[in-house]
Amino acid sequence: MSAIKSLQTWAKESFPLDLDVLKEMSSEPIPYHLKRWWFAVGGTPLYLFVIQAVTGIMLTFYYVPEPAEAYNSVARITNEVPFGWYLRSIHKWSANLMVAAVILHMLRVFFTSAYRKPREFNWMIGAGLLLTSCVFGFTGYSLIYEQISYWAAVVGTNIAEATPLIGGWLANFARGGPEVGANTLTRFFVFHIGVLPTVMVILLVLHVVQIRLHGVTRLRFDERGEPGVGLSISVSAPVTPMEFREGSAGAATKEEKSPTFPFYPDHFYTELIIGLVLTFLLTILTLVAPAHLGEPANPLVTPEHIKPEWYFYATFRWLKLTSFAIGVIGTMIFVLVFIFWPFIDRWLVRRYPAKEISFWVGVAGFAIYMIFTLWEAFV
Amino acid sequence: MAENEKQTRRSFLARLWMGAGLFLSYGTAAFYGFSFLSPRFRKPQPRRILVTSADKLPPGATTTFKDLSGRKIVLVNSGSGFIALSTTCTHLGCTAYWVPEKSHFFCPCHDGYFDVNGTVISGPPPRPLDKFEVFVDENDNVFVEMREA
Repeated sequence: MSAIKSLQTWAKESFPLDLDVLKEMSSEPIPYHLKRWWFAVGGTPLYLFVIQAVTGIMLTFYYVPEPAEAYNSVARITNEVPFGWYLRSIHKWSANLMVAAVILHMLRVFFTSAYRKPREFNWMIGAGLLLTSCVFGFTGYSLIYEQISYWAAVVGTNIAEATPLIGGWLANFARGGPEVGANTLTRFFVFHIGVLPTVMVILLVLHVVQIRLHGVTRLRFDERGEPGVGLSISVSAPVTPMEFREGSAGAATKEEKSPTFPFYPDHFYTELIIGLVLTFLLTILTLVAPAHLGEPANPLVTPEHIKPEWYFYATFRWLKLTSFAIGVIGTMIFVLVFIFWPFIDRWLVRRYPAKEISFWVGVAGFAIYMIFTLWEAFV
Repeated sequence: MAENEKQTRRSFLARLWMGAGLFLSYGTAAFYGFSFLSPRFRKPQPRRILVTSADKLPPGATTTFKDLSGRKIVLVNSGSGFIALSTTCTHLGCTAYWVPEKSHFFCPCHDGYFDVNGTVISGPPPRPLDKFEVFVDENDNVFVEMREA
């Protein structure tokens, strides 16, 4: 007994945590609308990132980042290593779901205008997280060194080369030379397992710190959207963050209050349940559609039918439809508008206070993204 | 800085030297790091490759050969002369391939089409396929000049 007591004393001395402070930190008031899953999807990418980190580290034990061996090592993981196919598939599907979850989360943030003052910077961090997720995906499937890997690397680095001023340097930096080859694979591997995870963790920490500093956005629903009853966002009077008051039709005063609940245990349990459902979903996807392996990379022959991962379909279609300059520069402008949207939105609200132009820009933008994605998927 | 801490010449100079030292040392480290990560490669050198003899390639005929990297180069006798075309698409670098039944080059990445002379027929490529210089010597041997690292 005295041994347990002395161990407790040692633990308290080694980790002098104030439990009351910890309790206060974990019981941050959460607005009631987060009871709905649609509003709780922000934690999903974090959960999926952890899954990818764990499965990714395990895959690294067998993967060889060298052109002659990369494909064979992935084939060994898939066909020979015990449960290798399962881990690789979970890694792949969690990457896909992560991109989807970030897109869904950003849609929710966009259409509830939660990026508005004072959360502009957090939107930009979120945009950075989406872009990082996409680069993660791009470098990830390039590592397999199958045909799509090689040609995606060729196209991707050539797009980078078209960047004004720094394009040449950027492309050579990414490729490690004038052409895609052994250096490219090594660099993509370093990006995928070292640089990008570091960037991702920094952005995630900043994102969560910003959320804690500002608190979760409190939204004002229209009369049909009573908290806890059911979601109803009307187009004419969209939900609006309470803090934002810049001539917006749905602006609210500071006096308006909405009911809250503590982060722990209520929201923590919600996140746990979402995590459980995701694990179930990942396993089902893995069993139904395990990650397959295409033809090995052939730098001399571009396959007749080539497509990138689904989240690049819209860009891929856009590049087919437009000239080189418009295709590449247009993509870059879109990315910049996406990142700096809160400031563009603020300008729009000032210029046209009575109209929710941003809402319709979002609808049009997402509709175009979906049309291009489906077009590329089915044609 | 706290209000009661008065800035003296000594403290100002100390901060200045400290700042300059940090800037120089980290700046030098950043320059070394930047140089380390920026790849260097040899300047490509011109080289003439013997491809065929002119009498083996009548007007309208094409033949293909590979450069040192193994990429296909197409040699065309257009009737008015020989044209050596790179098969690397000028859009985003995929390999275009010759479709004999339609007499055009097709790039599958973003649907680029080129005619037998390498001119863009349709699609997003910004310019014709790259051409290499062709030389025919006094013995009717056809050479193509390429630049290879």
